[in-house]
Amino acid sequence: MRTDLRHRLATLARDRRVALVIVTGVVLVALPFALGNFWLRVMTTGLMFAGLGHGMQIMLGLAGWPALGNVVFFGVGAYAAALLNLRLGIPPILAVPLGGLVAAAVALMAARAMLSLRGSYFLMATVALNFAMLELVLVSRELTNGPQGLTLDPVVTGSPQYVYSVFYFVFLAVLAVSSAAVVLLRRSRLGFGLLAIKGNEDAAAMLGVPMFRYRAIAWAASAGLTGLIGGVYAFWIGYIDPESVFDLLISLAVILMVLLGGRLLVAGPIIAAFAYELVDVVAWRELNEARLLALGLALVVVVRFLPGGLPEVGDHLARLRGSRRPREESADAA
Amino acid sequence: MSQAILNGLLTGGLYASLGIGLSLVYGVTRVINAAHGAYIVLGAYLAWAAWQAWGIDPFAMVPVLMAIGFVLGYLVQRVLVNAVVKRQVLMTVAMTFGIDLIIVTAVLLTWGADLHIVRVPYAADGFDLAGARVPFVRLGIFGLAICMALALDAIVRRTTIGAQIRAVSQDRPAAELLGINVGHTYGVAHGLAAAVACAAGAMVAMITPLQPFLGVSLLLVAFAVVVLAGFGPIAPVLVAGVLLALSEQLVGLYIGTEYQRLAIFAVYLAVATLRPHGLFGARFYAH
Repeated sequence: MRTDLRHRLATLARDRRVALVIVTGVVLVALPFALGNFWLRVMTTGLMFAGLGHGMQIMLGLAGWPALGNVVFFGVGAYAAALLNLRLGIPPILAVPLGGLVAAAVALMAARAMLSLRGSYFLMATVALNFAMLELVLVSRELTNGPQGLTLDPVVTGSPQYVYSVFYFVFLAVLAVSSAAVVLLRRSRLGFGLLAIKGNEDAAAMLGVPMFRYRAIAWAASAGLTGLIGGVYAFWIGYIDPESVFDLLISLAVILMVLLGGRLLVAGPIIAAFAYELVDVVAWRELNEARLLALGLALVVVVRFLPGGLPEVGDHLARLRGSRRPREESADAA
Repeated sequence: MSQAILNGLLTGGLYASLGIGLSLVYGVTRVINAAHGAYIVLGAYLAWAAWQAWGIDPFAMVPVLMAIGFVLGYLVQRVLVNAVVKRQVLMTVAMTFGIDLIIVTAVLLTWGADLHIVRVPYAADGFDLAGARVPFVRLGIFGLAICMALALDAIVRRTTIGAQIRAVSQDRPAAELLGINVGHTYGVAHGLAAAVACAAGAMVAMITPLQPFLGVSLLLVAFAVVVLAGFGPIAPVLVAGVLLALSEQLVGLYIGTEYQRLAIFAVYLAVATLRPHGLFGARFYAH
């Protein structure tokens, strides 16, 4: 009887989650038809940051590695895709995934040296890797056009509304892929291994978790996803320069999203990205410098007062409601 | 060649003074203070503003800047960072980067994004030494950097609060049991670091065009110094600062100036991965 009830409850929970995913999906697909260009662009940026958040989540949420400089793979992916397209004439639909592969390859090459570093040393080494790559792009003028950046031909032509919608759906597809990747990773042997490493490194090593290989795979997956998004970004904006795609502020915004997402591995970064974009747009409409201030304040406030992110707000609200109307929730659940 | 070596030597002192504060805060609290670059920028802009408004020489501003930096650093540590000091490194870095952005925005809104530089009347004066030109400004900066390094070292080694700083960094629970106020000690360490950073800013203002976003690259130079030195006492930091500046100058001379910054990051990555505890394997005032 008891197990039967539990089983039914579990199914209910799973159903609710499935329903939530379907509703969210339908809303996201329908949105472009209801929004003007401005808000379409805002939402597209939100989708992009949600995907980047999933990339960071693989490193931070699963493996517990503070990859602060992971924006380096955004830049590498953007430049690789753009150069493959401009210099070799490879069409964007192929150049973008190849850019992701290049980013993953860079991560694998750096893995041997950098994954042996722990904590703050790893964190700052990733930042240095980002700036080293930025300088490398700046000095390789013949190939990358240096600080002038690269201009790309438009991929799709038509009305602005049409072009914006196309990229909205591309980013939506990428987000679907990244969500699936995080869910599958979390449930795989690899994901359990990573969580074990995060929980207790020495114990995980003793239990035979292949530390280096798992971390290297996680880092390559994170880099590949980030690079893929970088490539799409390059063709979306149509112009990239080193300072804008290797910008550490992108990493900081992504980390804010992961922190805001809290324990919600997949949904967290998505919710946080849209919330952040709305705040960013309001700040940016007031005053351009206010965007930096908003990001800075958000980082300080979240770390200081809300380390559990948005789910913690939910917990507080639930507790408030719970103290006013005790036992209401358990009755609901049954 | 001799000019490049001399420049490296003189700039090395400045680089060391950028790194000292970062090393102190990390050594004591295990927090990477990403706002360190912003303190330097703030100091630089304050020095520029004082010079612009009242014609005060940046060297004369140093005591004032150190006082401002100390108060700012102490408050940041006690009000914000102390509450999260035991959390994982990404949390504290995210917070200090947030503080960095707030300070940088304040600088941007106050003084704008135009390039500024302090050109003191004696900027072009100097003397010749072994076929190389020694400008007084650079020599003064070098001397001041050495003095600050020695003073900080003396504070940590010889004073009561210095003993407390060392005690907390070696064994926090034991220090707490002995009645040391850990929050206050952390605050003082952060304050000292910020004081040196603000003073270093005055020196930066005399040799580099200022813009609000200078902080991140200064932070990376500071961190490169610290990684080279290991989180250790003062002497390795000075040596590391000079080594870094020398390699930067020599790369500029023989390969090209656009490769200078690349050289810094390459040296940094090589040392960070090959010798994570620094070239000298130094630990923070430990025996």
